[in-house]
Amino acid sequence: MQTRVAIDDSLASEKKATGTLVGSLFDMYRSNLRFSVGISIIFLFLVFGFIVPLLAPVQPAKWHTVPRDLPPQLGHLLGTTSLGQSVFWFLSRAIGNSFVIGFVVAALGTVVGVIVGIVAGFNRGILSTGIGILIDTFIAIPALPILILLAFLLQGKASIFLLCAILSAFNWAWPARQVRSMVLTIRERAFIDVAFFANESTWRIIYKEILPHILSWAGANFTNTVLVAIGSEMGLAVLGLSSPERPTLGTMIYWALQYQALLRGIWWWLVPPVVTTVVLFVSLFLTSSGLQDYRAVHRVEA
Amino acid sequence: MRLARYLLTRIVSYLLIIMVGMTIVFVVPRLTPQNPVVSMVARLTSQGTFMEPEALEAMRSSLMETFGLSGTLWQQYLSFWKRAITGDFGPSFAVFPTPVNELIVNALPWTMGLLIVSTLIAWIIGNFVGVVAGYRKGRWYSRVLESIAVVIYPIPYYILALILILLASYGFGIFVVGVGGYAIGLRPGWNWPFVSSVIKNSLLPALSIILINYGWWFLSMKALSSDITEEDYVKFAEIKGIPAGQVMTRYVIRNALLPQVTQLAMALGTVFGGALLTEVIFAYPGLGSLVYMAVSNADYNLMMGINSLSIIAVATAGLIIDLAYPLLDPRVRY
Amino acid sequence: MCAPKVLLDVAGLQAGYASRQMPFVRAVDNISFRLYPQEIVGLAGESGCGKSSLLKTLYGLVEHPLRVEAGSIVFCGNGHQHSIIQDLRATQKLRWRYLSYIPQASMSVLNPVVRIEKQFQELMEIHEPGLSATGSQDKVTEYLDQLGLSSTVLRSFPHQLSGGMRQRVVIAMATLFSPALVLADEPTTGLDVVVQRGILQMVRDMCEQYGTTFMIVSHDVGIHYQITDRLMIMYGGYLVKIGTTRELFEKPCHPYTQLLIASLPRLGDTGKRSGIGGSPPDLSRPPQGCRFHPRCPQIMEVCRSEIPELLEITPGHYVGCHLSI
Repeated sequence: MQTRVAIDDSLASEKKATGTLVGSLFDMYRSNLRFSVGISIIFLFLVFGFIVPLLAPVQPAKWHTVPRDLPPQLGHLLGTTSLGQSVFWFLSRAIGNSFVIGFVVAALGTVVGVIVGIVAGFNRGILSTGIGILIDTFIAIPALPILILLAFLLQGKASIFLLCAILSAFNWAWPARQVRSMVLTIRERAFIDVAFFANESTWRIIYKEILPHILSWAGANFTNTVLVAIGSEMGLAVLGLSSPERPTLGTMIYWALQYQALLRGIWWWLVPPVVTTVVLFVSLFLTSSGLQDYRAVHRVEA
Repeated sequence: MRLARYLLTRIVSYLLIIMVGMTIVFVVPRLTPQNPVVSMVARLTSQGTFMEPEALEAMRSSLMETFGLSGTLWQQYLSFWKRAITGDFGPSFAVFPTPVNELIVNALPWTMGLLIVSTLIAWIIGNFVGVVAGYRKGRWYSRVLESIAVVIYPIPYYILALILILLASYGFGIFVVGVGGYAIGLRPGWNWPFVSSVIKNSLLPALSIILINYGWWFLSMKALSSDITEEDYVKFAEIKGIPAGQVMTRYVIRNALLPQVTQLAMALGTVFGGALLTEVIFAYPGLGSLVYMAVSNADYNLMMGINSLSIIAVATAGLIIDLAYPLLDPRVRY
Repeated sequence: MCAPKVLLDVAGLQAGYASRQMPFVRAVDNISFRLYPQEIVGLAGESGCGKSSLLKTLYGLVEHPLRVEAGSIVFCGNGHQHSIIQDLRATQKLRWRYLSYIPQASMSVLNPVVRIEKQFQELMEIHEPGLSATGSQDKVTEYLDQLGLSSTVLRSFPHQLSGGMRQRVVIAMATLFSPALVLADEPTTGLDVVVQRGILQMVRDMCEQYGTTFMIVSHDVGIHYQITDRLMIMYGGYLVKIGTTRELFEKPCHPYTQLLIASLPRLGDTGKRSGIGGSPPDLSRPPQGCRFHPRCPQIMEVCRSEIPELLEITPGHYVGCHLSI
């Protein structure tokens, strides 16, 4: 399992997120090398994963659509599998699916985490304590065995969205804890008190004063969760516990290993997903740490 | 007084975390449509043993009892707690009738040996290299070291393990792509062939754990120490004419180590969960393999035994850190 | 060259900040002065006038982006003369034994996780390696005792001490080996008046007891009035005035000095005090001629084009102003 990237919590950027999200993304792209390299590679992968499959002359996952075990050559750029699939088209579909899983889990986990965190941070009663304990529990329980158990129950039958929901269940606690401590810090500051005295409604304060602080953090967390989620799905898939029929990076490796691709010298079945995974994960990590660097720099400037 | 108050709330939350965690451990397996007893009985009868319906029924109910599956969910829950508190999780289902505790005790040394040693090695190397890169940031070697960590760290574990296996089986002979913890045909004991075989077989899994953890320890230490290097007291140390080596050890490391020590304690807490993927990939006979076996056989007792152990270990590590922190950092007081 | 009885001889010093993003900022321009043994010299000026940069340069802390362009700093505090800038390696050996430096923000310069006692012992270990552990411990205790710092302070961690106490500890560290010269950057900033007084008294005592020379940088002219023997005024990277403190307050001569003194509160003074209009010059694009001319109430035609030289108008009293020629 991936250890989480420590996203520094407590102090959100002093600079308020000034609506121009696109503007600051552009600024980041120019000023932060890690971010620009990471996001560029991710962009290429997105094109490869979502646009390219539309051009596929064959159904990528269907068996025996092409001759078996062909090494890379003209016409079959990355060769073909022992199941008669084209590695190139299969890979592009797999990347797309892995992204879908990553995005859905990251979105669910981050949104739930932010909401729970805000509630826990703003409430000062038993509710806050209760949520705190729940959060700590979810951080303490070993995720992988339970994930494996759940996946085992649903073996092969889980829809991609059920799988996402299960993965999200293990990815909301961390952002929730971070957001809670951020909210606790922010609400200690004077301007929140002023807002309270000015009789603004709690929701308005959250929307106007707290959310902007959290959003930039949530961006970094989102990217990081995409990484963790794709990784978790791969972990299950490699053990054969995802849904093997659906092309993802993990199932691709699973099938290649099942068919002893390496022993039989069919390296082109295994190497592309492995290399893709490494490059994809490094670029996701670069993006997420670039986002954090950017936040840190802007905190200093403010 | 404040200390007592703090201790009390901390211990209460510690117990609550364990309770909630154990409850989740109790509930999740019961979501399985698979009833282990039914499948066990089915397995017995399919082996051709003919049994009287009454005997079958008696066996079923006694098995239900053994696996804590008799009665309502609430009764099961209570008996689960009784088992957890007495520390007796009953017999395993997958390796019937070996007691769960015995399986865990047998697997524990393997996991402990592998994980504690490799976690410590990764921690020491990662911190040492990280502090150099953080204190001397901007130098070419710091950038090289950081780039290496940035590439290694995000790689999913099994991909890393897979790459290692590929390299080991195609290139480097010193690594044994082992099956099990030691070579087949050896008798466990304190004799050289056995010990050397254990070490040889654990080299590759250990290396994989060291590599994957190294990235994390390096990156967090580098971030910490490059922040600390900017602090006034480090600048003052240089002004005072203290040699760079001592500034690094006495000022930068001394201040950066605290969070790293607490994280190490947390990491050592998770050791009790076993390294599932490592052990499965390298067929290593530790707790992780046991978890995998338990899950794939719907072995409730075994699952609960290991998961309870791991939850208690993680929660206890957290508790110890919180209680010990003021001893480590003089600035923190309750 | 070391004239007799001179501790530090600075001649024609020019230094500034060179970075890729910004034009060169010359923070220290053509500065020459001398320090003598056993005196307290003040360096005053508005923030951003180059005081801290000058002090850093004197200590040889010239790391990128700070760069010395020209001039010399000759230090004679260790018996023979030594050029601070030309021989940085040897300067490092002088540090703390013969020459020490108290940086700005000295509230936070103590290692937060180590007891004060240990921090002193570390200094002993490095700068007096010959002494045994107990010997150095005794020396530290004795020394602090003289300064009126109790053994409770020694056993504390920095965060357990008040700001004033921390400042005393830092000064005690800087003077542990009775160096010939201590450079102190804003040593009393951020402390309340009573604590300030205590610290200034401590500095005065050290100067008299051990013959240590202090060079104190502060933007607060009041501090200089209370403690310094001589005072130097800096404006826009230049020294515009050097003189004994008393003389300087009695005969300010330079319009900038007059304004600085006029801005001080005085007992029984009920009239409105005048600040100095305008803002200090941008050192990356300094004005032509006298740096002060855009704000000078007594501006003349020559001020716009020519930089006034620092001239000795009476013995030991230098002024850099066209008015005094």
